[in-house]
Amino acid sequence: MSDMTPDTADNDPTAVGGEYERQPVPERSRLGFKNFIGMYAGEHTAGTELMIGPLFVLAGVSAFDVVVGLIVGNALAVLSWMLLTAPIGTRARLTLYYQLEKIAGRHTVILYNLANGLAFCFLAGAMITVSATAVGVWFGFPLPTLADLAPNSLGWVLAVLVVGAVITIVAAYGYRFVSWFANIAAPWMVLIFLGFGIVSLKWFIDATGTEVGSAGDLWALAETAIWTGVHVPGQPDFTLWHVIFFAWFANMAMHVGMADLSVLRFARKSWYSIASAAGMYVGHFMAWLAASMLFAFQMYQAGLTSESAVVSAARAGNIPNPLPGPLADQALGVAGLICVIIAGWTTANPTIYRAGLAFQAIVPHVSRFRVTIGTGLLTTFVAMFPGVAMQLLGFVALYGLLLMPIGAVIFIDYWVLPKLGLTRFYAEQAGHTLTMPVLGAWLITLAICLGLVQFADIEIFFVALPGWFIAALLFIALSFLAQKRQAPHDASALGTTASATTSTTSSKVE
Amino acid sequence: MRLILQIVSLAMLVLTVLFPMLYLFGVMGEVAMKWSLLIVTVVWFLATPFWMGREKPANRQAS
Repeated sequence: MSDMTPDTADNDPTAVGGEYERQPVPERSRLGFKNFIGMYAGEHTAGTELMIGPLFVLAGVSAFDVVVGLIVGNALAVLSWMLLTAPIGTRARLTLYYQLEKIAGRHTVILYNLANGLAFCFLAGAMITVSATAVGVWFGFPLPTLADLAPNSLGWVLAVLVVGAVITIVAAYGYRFVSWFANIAAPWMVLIFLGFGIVSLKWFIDATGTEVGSAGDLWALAETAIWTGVHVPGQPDFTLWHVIFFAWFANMAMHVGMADLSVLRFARKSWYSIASAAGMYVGHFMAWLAASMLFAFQMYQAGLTSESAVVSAARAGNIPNPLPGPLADQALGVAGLICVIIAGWTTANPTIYRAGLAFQAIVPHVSRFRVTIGTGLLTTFVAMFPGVAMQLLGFVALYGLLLMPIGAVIFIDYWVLPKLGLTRFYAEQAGHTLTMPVLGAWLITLAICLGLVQFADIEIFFVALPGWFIAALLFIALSFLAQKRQAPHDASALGTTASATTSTTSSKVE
Repeated sequence: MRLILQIVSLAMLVLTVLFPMLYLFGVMGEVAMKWSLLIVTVVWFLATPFWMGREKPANRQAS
């Protein structure tokens, strides 16, 4: 996971795309391929990777499932950026927000900001939780366990308060500094993650007495000791399909959900979006595997490599806790702890900042400083509840699902509606601030998807894919109804402005 | 000076991987590896801010 959501509002000073908020990015401001490589690689190696890796182990992934699943799932994520997001981003060259405003009206953007801002608060809360576990190693207070949903000690509450307060104040005052510092830390942090994997491999080799003379020996070690496929009761039970879909949709809001339109509108060529592979295979392959190996060794040391042992340990409440701080400390010492704190800090900070901007769009009369402080307090409160971080797999899937229908709407509006004789950017043409086709497609899709999860026993990791098609069909049907009903009243005016807009903003489409 | 700092930073990145590899192959002990990585981390954060994200002197003069 990452915070890699671009300029959430108009005045983000450092994210790619801090300007041209209400106009296409001009030729002179477009960026080369290398800019996107560095940005994607750095921003997808975040504090939450240290939680997701161990949660895979608790979910009982086997070696084949996790390795092949991540290769395939991340490839699908890259293809989503390349085939869905980038072609529109490099043609319309508008931010998600401005494009959505044109399609759905200003009030819909406010609703989107509210949903996005709240999701950011939970995401940043998990990042603060990760950092606070490292603080716990230094001060020695009781850290939360896997079963803890609420705070379990005063020390934990104080640690989260201090970490949250520092991050909030820096987000309110000094976002530029954090962004600069995050860029400096990124190359080192990526290699520290690699170090986690190397050190835990050594532990496994020593503990099992394996003689590694070939890749086959390593694979056998991975299958029998690291990713044994033993699932912990009470956690999601992951198969190959779960891993594929989780990796594909971990950043669903960014690619299928189209949030990265705001980033990729700066790309000179659509294919530059292949740079997302750097983020996926560094952050969501290497880092996830390395973090999962750290935790897998805790399970191995505790003798939890068989179904029966895990079940009895779960009954007795003796499952090791997937806490990044102690895991990193054990592997790489103080350097590992520094990595955990920096990984959480540098990614929670922009997330809080962007959540603040999202909320400020809803209450524009309140200063950004105050909104960011308020957002940080809410995030810090969320971070006190370790249950959010412990249930991160499900939350990440929910976050993607929440914003996915908007991506389907943007895709259909851009490519399909004109071919059906319907008007693109309908809200702008008709002067609406809220449109029923978008609102209906969004809310009905969410209701259907959550209904499938609740009543049809379909896991949340799998509903987003059919959900996209549901959203697309709903948006087409509702647009047809809305525009045909409107057409007799103002066909001539609408037709004139529609053709003018099409020719100025998207002449490359037809 | 900038070039020297860049070389130092690059060396630290190499060492960040090298020390765990030496530990993996049994050349280095765990405690030594952890201390070495801490030193590498400190040097990285002392050296890198002076060149990364800053304009090259030639560019500054040109603008």
